[in-house]
Amino acid sequence: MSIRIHYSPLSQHSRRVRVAAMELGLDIDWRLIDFAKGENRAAEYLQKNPAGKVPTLDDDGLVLWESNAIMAYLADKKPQANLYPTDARARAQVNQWLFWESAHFGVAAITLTWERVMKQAFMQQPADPALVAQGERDWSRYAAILNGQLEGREYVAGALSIADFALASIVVHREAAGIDMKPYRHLQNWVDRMEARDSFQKTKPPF
Amino acid sequence: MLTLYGHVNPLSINTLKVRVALAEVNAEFRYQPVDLAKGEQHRAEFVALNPYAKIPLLVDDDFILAESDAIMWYLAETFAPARLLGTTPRERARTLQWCDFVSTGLYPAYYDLYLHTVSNAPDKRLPTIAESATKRLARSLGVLEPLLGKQETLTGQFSIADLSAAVVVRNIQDRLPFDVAAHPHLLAWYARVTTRGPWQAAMAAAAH
Repeated sequence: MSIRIHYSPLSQHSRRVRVAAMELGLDIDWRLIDFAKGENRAAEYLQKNPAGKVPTLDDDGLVLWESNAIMAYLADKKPQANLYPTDARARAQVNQWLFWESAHFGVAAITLTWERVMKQAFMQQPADPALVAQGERDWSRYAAILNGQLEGREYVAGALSIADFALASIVVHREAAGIDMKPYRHLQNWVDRMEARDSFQKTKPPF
Repeated sequence: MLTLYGHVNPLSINTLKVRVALAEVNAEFRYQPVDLAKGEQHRAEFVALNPYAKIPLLVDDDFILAESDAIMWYLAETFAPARLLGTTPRERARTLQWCDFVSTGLYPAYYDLYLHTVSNAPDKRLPTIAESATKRLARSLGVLEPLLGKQETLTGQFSIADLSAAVVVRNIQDRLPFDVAAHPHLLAWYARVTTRGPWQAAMAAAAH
């Protein structure tokens, strides 16, 4: 039985998992969850993912959510691809950037994307100026860190890894969200490199 | 020899969980407090280790690692391979899932509520953020409560994910105007985690 993954084409967290699966060459049974129809709140889905979010993986009875955990699980199916290294120190560094993405960098990017793009598109609500201000402050702080890390490095942990998929997928709406990339040349060049990959090209969001 | 650079208050949330993890794997370490109030994280000798000026930071000879969950994972992998992470890919994925759940859901909800009800100066406390954080916190605890009614730990066996979640629950109880009494299974699990020897040892060490 192939691995089933519930996803939404609008979700940046789904996209990183699609990118990872594609880069790993894994055969996945993709199942679209339509938020507009409330499918993420259906009882059957909530049983799998109590938070009602995407993506969710179902691999022959193993139900798993949180996109970074799913990517790590998929990458462990193909250790030879080395997208999630097995050496303890190399893996620790990928983990460091994965956790940094979920706790810091991603939060800043999501705040700006949600407030300036999604909230208006899906809920017809205006951006909250206080949250935007907080997002801006956090963004400039974290973007500088990632920019520094990418100076002289092709990928964030040295070699290409699932941490690159996590970090690059979260800034996809940077123009509409007013996420300022100009001061961060290395960050910008790296995002361009990542988005030029086949896996990113084939998973572009519908808008 | 390991060196942990951490908060001057060893009970500070991300420092505490790494200290408990060190006790769980029974690793000896040197503790180096970094006084954020004095700006010690910006001193040249610390920035040389971590250009991003953040604690906690683990130094293992020439290997330097930030991010508390990544540090706990590394400690568990290096010092106690068969415990605290799980052994099969599925168990490990489950551990990572719950660590991520804490860092993307439970912790930010706690922290936003802490900032906007307790920590910020009164004129910087934003009711809209406090309100949304309260809802997000209730939602996260609402995911944990039924799970912990069915099993002893987050993943089915004790792991670093329990430590990640427990330090947040500790701070919720200590610091927030938020009542967790409606979550008996969560509180029973919290008691199980915090009566373990390593947690007790880390608390005792912090008191010195």
